[in-house]
Amino acid sequence: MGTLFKIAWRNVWRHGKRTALTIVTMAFGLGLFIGMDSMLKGMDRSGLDNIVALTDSSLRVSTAAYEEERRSYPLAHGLQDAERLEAFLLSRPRVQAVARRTRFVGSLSNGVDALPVLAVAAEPGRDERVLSIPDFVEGSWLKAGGERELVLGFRLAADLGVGLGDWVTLAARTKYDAQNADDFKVVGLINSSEPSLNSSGVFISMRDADGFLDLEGLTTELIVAMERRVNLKDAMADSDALAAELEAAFPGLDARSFGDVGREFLELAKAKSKSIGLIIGIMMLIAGVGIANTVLMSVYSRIREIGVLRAFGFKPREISRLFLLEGGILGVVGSAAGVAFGVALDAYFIYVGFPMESMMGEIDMGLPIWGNLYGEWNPQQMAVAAVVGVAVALLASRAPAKRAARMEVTNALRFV
Amino acid sequence: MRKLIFLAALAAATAASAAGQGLPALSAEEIMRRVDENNTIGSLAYVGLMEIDLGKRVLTKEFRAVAQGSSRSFVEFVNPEDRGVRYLKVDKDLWMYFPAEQETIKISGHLLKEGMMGSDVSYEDALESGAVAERYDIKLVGQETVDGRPCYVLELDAKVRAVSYERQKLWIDGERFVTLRAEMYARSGRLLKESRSLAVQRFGGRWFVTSMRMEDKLKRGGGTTFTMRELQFDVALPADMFSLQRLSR
Repeated sequence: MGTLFKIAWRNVWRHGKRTALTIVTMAFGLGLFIGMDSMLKGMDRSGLDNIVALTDSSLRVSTAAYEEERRSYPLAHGLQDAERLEAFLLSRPRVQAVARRTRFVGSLSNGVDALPVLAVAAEPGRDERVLSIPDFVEGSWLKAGGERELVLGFRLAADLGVGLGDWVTLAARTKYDAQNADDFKVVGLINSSEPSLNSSGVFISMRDADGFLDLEGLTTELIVAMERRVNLKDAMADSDALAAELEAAFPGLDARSFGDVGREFLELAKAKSKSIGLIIGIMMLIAGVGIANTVLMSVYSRIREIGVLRAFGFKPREISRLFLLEGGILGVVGSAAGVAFGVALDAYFIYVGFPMESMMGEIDMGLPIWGNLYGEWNPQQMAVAAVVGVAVALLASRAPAKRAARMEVTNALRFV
Repeated sequence: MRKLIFLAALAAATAASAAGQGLPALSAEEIMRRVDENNTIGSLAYVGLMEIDLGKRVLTKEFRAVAQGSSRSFVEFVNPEDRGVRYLKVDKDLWMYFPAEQETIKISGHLLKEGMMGSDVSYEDALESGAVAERYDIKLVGQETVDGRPCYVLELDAKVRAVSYERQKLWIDGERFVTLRAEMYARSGRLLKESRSLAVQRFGGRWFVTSMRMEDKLKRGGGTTFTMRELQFDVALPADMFSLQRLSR
């Protein structure tokens, strides 16, 4: 075996350019696979971070009737006794903050055009203790004493052609279905990692909304911040437990946990990653064909050499093993190069990030995140890539190896 | 020169007189009662045309409609793009039927706030029914001329909270008792919509607006022109005219 390995090793490097090309193909395919996996993992993590930090919080509480009609954002099903509910939530372990919100449907006009929007009335001073939207606001977030202030997504602002300091007209129906419209000053523009906030986020203060929508204190939902956990599963379990506890204590309420929303998000992400998996599969196939081609070329160019080896007493099985070894060496070296390339890509994505904003400009790819996309280490997937690389190389060299082994000594020696 | 000044003074005096100064003194309630009389229908069938001016292009929608009172109506679009799309309104409920999908959906929630078929008339505008006096305090604020016709000017202030517009201003034709112009205001006092009657026709003893234009004042330009033709009052309607079965038939 030692001799065979030495011969195989020497043969692999005898055709340096061809071998290098095969290794580069493999390294490129595997490296991209590792890099893309890192990005997908990073996208999942960022998406989940967005759920907790920007859109849904750890727990979102509304009435069951509201949740049934959620798509129409009705102002008919407010939370009863929100104070008691808040006190209950704040008394639970791991709960850090609670804030009230009321969502409503309206339209935003710049005086020329009007766009339909789903707006949120939030509590300045409390909302930012649950969600971190203010961290992504250019200008300022809603102020507790502010009057007729409005914060909106930068993409929506661009669609309306308005900027900081401009006045826009917000129109909506009051709780009693009367039409109302008033001017609000744009004090902040959201440019966050959550695309939906950038393209359709509209926020006014709960105090303004109370007068504007005749709310009389109506709150449609509570959002809850829970202690941050390193492990995602722990964070989901915490929110699931709190949701179950709350629904048991307050029948008629609907508690949507981070666990619920996160699992739905991951299911969707899984479906999306299938198509990316297909692309990776095709790249691996190309790498496999490259290896098969290299080994096959090696067989054809060395048929006379095979004849000599057979004449020296090499058995067909040993000839087959020799070519398999050559494929294996290509696989191992290619995989190692692929993993090294993948690690370099990962390091870049993790520490520098992928600037989606400058790469994609105004194009909305429907991805769950925006801004700088950061990757994530996934050693398990690197090991899978390396094993798959070697396996593909061995599989690809199996047929040429068999063909070499089947050759008659005389035919091989006479082969021109 | 003196002759010219005299003529100008005469013209001004005539205009002032024509500005509705000569209309009989009626109470706001009486004016509104007469408007309601004109608008109150037993049953009505007509062909409608909606021209939706989107600024850059104009969409034209044609439909056949039947109505019973102000609470029930059935509309079927006949223009090629929307052929077969139907609406059924019964009291405060509205359904829409899509022929391609053979599906009926109930318009509810925020969908009610959107423009009907892309027009400036929201579904909720279409659902408003019942006597105005029940929902608004009506005040006569003066007399003005609209399109050369003397009008009573009424101000309507909502006396219940569940109305679309907190305040409305109406210009009522002083002789025919139809609304020639209307302004609808938000709770904040901001002008939201404005409508103008473009054609008024007489049907027996009743005057009826057969063409009007509605503009969304939160947008610049655009508007929807609504025209009715082939009107037939008090037509006999089948018993299931306003049923979901007929909507999806």
